[in-house]
Amino acid sequence: MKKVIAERDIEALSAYLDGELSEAERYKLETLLKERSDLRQELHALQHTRALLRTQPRIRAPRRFTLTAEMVGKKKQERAYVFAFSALRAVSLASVALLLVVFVYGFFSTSALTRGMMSAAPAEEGEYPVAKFAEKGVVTEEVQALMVTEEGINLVEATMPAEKPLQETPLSTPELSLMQPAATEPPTPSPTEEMKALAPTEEVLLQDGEPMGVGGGMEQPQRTSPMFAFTPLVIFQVFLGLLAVASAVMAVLFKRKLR
Amino acid sequence: MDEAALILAAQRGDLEAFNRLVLFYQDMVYHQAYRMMGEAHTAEDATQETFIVAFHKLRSYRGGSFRSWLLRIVTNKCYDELRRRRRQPSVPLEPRNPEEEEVEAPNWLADGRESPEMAAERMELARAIQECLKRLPPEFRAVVILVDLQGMDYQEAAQASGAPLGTVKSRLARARASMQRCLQSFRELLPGVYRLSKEGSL
Repeated sequence: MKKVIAERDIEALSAYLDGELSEAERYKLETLLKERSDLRQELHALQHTRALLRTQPRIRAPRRFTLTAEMVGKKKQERAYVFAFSALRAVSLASVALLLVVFVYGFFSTSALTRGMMSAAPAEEGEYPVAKFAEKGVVTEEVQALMVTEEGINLVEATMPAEKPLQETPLSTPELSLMQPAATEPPTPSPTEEMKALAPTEEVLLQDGEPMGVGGGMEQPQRTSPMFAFTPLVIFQVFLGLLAVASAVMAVLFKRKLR
Repeated sequence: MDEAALILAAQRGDLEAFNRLVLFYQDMVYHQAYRMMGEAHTAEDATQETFIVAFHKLRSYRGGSFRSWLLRIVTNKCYDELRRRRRQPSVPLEPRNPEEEEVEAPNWLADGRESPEMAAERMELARAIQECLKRLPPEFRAVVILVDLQGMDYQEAAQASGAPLGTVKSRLARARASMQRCLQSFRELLPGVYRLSKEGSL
């Protein structure tokens, strides 16, 4: 009666033929093979089948299977990249051109304003006392520069009405402190450190010897914008600059993908 | 051929580089497809689709054996096609000669140096082997093709078939045993050299 060979033995025989058994497994199987003829017969049959399969020639491809751009949809993708590159390049160039126009416009408008100020209204000593402040070291060069701009003029003009009453009827310090809530209506934000440095106390005197009041000229600038005001024009310039750079970078990336 | 450089270039979208890989591996992929499907035209379709899929999936290739990676794709393609056929059985599309007999061994298998008798014997054997492969379940068929016809080791076969090493080992053993039994039934059709010298084995 023929002995049935277990599946695990067939598995071991198959792996033995391929040299895929561990040392211990191989030793165990070789011992079994010495004892059992049915296993030896099965091993030979498997060996022959394996050899038969391995002698089969490799079937060669009947044609070339190389891919074309159409096959992989590369043409479509390339067209999309070309379009994106062209569009981004156009946006970048347009942004740069517009930025230049805006710069030129800004330059000429600032020059015109400066010339207008220089020629039209030579500042009287009492009207625009910037030079006086500068001499005392109260006003820095930046402030002086600001004063010649539109914002600076507005700022100085805004300070003048508050200064007048103080000069007409000088008040003592206690009176000033009583009037303080009314004078500062609506309540203003606390002065910045920079402005504090510029107007430390009432001890700062004008050239003609009159003390500067608390509700006087030095309080008003605290309500104005900082030195580098973000006007709509500046914001637009920054936006254009960022747009030009971003679109140029993206255009370069698409160009590299096209290579 | 600098395979790594070609793969890297192809990953960046270089179709020329990928086509050089195609030319290098197309025989292997086609061989796998043909043995799995048993039909030339289906094998061609599977091979072409394999390379298209491989090109699109190349970015997901993370090193290792490129050969195993390709064979895994083609094997999965064949599984899909075989499953589809099981769901939608159709009339076989084997090429036929003027006498309406199936022609399974394509003419490109012929070797001009061998005699007609030898060529006939070899074709009989190839036909028997292909028929026996066809009778195996697809998962067993894939493993025996990968190891015995493609010459892969167990580790590579595990990668290419997507099965654990132990599963590959047991599937291969069972597939070989099945092939052995199947070829015994074809013994009379096999060339004389196999019938006489391997008596008792087959």
